[in-house]
Amino acid sequence: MILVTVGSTLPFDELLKSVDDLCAEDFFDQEVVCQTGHGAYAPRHCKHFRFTPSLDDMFKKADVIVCHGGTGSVLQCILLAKPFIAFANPRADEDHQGEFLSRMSQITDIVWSRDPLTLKELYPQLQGRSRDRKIALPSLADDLLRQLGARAAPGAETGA
Amino acid sequence: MAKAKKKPVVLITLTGGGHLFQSRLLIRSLGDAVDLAYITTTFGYHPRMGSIPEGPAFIVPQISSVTRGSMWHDVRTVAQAVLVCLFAIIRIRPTAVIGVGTGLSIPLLIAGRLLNRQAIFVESITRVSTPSKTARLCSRLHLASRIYVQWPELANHLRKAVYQGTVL
Repeated sequence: MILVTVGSTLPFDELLKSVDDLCAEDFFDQEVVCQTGHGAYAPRHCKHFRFTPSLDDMFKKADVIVCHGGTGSVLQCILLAKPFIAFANPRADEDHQGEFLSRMSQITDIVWSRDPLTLKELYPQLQGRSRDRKIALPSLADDLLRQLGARAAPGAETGA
Repeated sequence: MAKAKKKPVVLITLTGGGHLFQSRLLIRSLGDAVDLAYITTTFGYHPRMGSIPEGPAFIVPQISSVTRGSMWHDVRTVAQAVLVCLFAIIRIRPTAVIGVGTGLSIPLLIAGRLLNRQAIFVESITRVSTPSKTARLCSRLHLASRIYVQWPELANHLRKAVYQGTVL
């Protein structure tokens, strides 16, 4: 299953249309399901829904994820070691999604673009790409716990 | 025999989308070292929705535009949110209040400062070289005693900002 998600804050009809057009061509080799959020565009060639209380299960079940450049989607793909392509939503303030994706691509291997029309060209790049994306960054929780006067307990976990 | 040190209590924001994901990662990293209580919104996340430790949750009105150029239109909403946060802090008596990326951080930190708590803001990891409006407000209005940025290049853009790593 290919999961397409545009998040819960901003519409991203350009991405949905690009996916839908490729579905019309039978480009994808799997079922496509789109989370459309606040967008006006309703896909005609694949399943879709606007919102759900949690996408966690769908993220886990998906074989491939096509997502906007939002933190939750991108980090969840990385932490679940899923093959994914991220597209920066131009509506995000000060292009922060594009900046974030660009910065992440400097520290780990991700496929991303600012143009949803490049999806057809980028999708084959997911084949054979390593999903093991180790991100070696310190955790701010260590300093935060010091500020709080707390001792780190064995129950603490770090993400990536 | 020495008394066991009481765990700090933290009042932290839980909203939606990417900010929620970062709150969840941070909560996971804090582990059992702190006790948690939550500030959330009507349409936000709640501890019972899974993978978040149980703790009291206080609901504030949705603040959709505090940092989107129409703050004066939301003055009443922000004031209501501050009152809820004040009540939460008086009820829970946290060591610190922590806002993670969201505009909801503004009323929480206002309330935290009014009641003399550590008021901490964690800037979103999506902010690489330009701080968010929320972060700028926290800095300019002296709302935060500490601002964590998640990329080192952002630390010089905000007063009281430090880079100590990420929520990952």
